[in-house]
Amino acid sequence: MDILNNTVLDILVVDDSPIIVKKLSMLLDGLGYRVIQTAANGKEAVEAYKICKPDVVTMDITMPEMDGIEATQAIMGEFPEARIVMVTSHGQEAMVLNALKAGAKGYILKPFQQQKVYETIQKMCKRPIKLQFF
Amino acid sequence: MSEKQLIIEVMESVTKRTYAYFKSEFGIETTECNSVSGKLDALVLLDMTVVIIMGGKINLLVVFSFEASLINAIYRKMIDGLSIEDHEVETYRKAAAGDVINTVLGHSTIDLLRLDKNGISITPPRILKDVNVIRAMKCKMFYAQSLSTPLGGMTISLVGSQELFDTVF
Repeated sequence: MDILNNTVLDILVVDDSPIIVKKLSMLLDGLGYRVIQTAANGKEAVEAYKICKPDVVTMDITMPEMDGIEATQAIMGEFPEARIVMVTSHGQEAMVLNALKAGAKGYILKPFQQQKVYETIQKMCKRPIKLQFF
Repeated sequence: MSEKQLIIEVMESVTKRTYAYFKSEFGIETTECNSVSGKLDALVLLDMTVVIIMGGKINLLVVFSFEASLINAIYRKMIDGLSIEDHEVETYRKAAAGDVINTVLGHSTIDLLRLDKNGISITPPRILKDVNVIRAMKCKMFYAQSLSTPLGGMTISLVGSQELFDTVF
């Protein structure tokens, strides 16, 4: 999909909390994006990415089995064009830097602010940021 | 920094971040009640309990234990606008407890950054199922702080090595 034009972006949401998955999916739907798949840990995310090839991945950092940083490294290793945004409540610069070093293109802090989520995804995909009324 | 200071800073940060998160996200006012510290035989838990390990130099088990009325109120606020099937309620109630501790400790890592510049890791939250009491193991000590809200109470406990706590209490 050409993500520079106005086609709907397909998104893979990765988080071990079912509440966060539902809330973020609802928020993304409301912004006009399309959540095509969800995953509950890093391993599931890597497998899901191979199958659904989303335009964007929202990736939690702290998860069981395989954390978000490891999953990002694994996806970026195989798909260097992947666009992954980390989702975290972790305020430490060191952790965010680790995520960016792993290949993430940006990060979103929990609890979510709709405007920030929108701007982060638009910027990551080099799309224009239109005025939105949230 | 002394170990005493470390424990006090961790508890201060976690309680402060809990107040702030409850107020901003759920509109719940929190007040501090009694605290218990030292070597205890056991930590009595409330209706729902979730634990996370803060790693790095902090290396403490952090325990959030909620009265049913409080976690139910938080759950209802968290799922506002979401469609939850009857058979999913318990899963999402537990997830709500996990999200609270995960968010609070994530925010606390900002306050605690200077304690470990290499980064403070936090594990995924784990719900303690059918556990009413954490018995004191040989080398474990507790430091517990009770919090009260109009919707019910909760306790925040730090569990660490005896050496760590021996120098403190």
